[in-house]
Amino acid sequence: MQLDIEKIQEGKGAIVIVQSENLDAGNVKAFKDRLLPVLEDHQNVLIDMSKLSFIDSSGLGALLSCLRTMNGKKGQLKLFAMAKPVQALFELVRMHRIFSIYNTREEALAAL
Amino acid sequence: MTHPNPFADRADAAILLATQRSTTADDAGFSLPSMLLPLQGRSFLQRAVEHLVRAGCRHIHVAVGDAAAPVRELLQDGERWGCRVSYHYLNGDESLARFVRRFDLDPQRRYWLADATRLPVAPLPAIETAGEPSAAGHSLCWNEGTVTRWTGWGLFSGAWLQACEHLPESSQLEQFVLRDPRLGVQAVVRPLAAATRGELLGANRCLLAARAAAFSAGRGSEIHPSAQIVAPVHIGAGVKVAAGAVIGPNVSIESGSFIDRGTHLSNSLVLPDTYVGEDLDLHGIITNGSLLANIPLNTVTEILDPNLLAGLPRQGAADLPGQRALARALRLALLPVHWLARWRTRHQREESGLPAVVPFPQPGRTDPGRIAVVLALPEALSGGESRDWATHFCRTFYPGLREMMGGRLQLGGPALRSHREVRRLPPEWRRLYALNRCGLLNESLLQDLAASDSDGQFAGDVLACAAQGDFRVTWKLLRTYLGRVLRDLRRSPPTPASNPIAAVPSGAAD
Repeated sequence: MQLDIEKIQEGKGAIVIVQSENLDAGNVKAFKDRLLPVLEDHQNVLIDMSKLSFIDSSGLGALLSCLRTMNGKKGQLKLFAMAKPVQALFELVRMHRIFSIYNTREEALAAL
Repeated sequence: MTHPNPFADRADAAILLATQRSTTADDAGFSLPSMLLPLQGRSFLQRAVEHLVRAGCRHIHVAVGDAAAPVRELLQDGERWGCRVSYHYLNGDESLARFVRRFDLDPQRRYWLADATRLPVAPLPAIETAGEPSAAGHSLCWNEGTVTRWTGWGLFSGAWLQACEHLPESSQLEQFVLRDPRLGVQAVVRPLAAATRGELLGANRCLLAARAAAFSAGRGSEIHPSAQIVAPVHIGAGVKVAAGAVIGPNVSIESGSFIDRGTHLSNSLVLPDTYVGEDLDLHGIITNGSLLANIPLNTVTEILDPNLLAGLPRQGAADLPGQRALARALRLALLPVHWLARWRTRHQREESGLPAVVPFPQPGRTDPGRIAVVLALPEALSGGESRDWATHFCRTFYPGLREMMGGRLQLGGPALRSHREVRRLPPEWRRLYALNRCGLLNESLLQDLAASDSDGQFAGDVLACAAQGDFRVTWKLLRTYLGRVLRDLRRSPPTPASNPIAAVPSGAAD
């Protein structure tokens, strides 16, 4: 699982770009292992999901786990540029009500 | 000056375009085109056939494309709708002009041209005429703002259809019809459409709004007391709704589906035999097994987690006690009769020399009074004195037992009355006798009659045996029906002139 990490200016946080097309049981452990240090080091984390076209229940569980981590330290986790199939799944399981989801990177940054 | 109603001379033949393919983006993943998906129990294609039959059509020529197999499987020979169905392949690159030239159209007669992906809201015979009558024909149009659109339906003369050498592909037909000054225009309300999934969902909403009852639940459905129903909602046969679910508004759940606890549905269509998991949100969704079509997002997603969405083993309405077992037993017990009937009907076909696909009636062979008597009473069907019960048994009843096992057909039909009695029945019931026999009927026919009829004294004419679960009624119907079949089989083979296929309804009037 490859994740590109960009620092946000003025130390506000980090943007994580998911480079994989799938987030499922096969790579969810690697995803969490890569992401957890970022979550610990930053107060605000934005995840760019534009390249992600498929996500399953274990992927959703991993994202929920990350959200719980950020909520525990009073930080923010935001998702943006979600592909339509992924968005449909988020809406199906009501996770669009739990996560802050934005259409574009700019919108997500403006919400910080 | 008064003008004759151009719709008064009802056409008794139609060309129904059922060539829709599953190629649009929002069709991806679904195995059937939108026109074949059930919508409150009946697909667009089935509803289109019903419209044409009610308008007096007795012979429907269905133009099929890539999805020919499911169309044929649904309509079969058309006898369940009281008509005859012939199938013709329309190649993707073939123009309609070339297609229409396959038929020997009578220039003096009128033919319905219909599109199975669009459906007029009002029954065709109820459409009132305004403006000048046209010899070329009339197209049914509606106004969308300042733009006039064609419904895909029209009543055209054989001469007009023959003369249109430049009739384009069906996709360009609308502009062609609208620009032809020879055609009269009949204004109707916007038709229901099923060209895309989004339109199908809109049609579901319109149909729900048009229903007399805001909420309907099919046979064998179970709704937990804590579930909330927000009308209008249609729940099909054998559907189960678990505790805490919130259903509606504008939701149709087709037969055999299961909605698990705490799930919310609104403005959605759940296709048959679909499991919808716990605590889900479905808004603006069409779901079919594990496939999820999100209409606002215009996307189709396959959900691989069976705890969220999944297809269920097909159960349908046949899980009523004894129905499946009855259908199996009948298939086994009636196998010798089926073989005999097949032999007899094959014999009839050879004698009459009929081709496998029957073309339009030849000019000159048409009875001039035939169009006017389309909805009159065919004696052969109504009074139980038909000579073609064997054909009906062989082509409709026996194959239908398999459909009965799948819950798509019910054992039922009109009780046998004498011809004289039937003549005295109200028009709606006369129509039932004109178009149907006892045997296996599509469930929707029984539902329609039950909903539309206020003449309680005739309710016993429709023997929905399986639905009532009354063994005595079932036995009575079967005994009567099989008695007619066996009596027909004992008779000598009919002459070609009395063959039921050759003699469609021409001389059947009372």
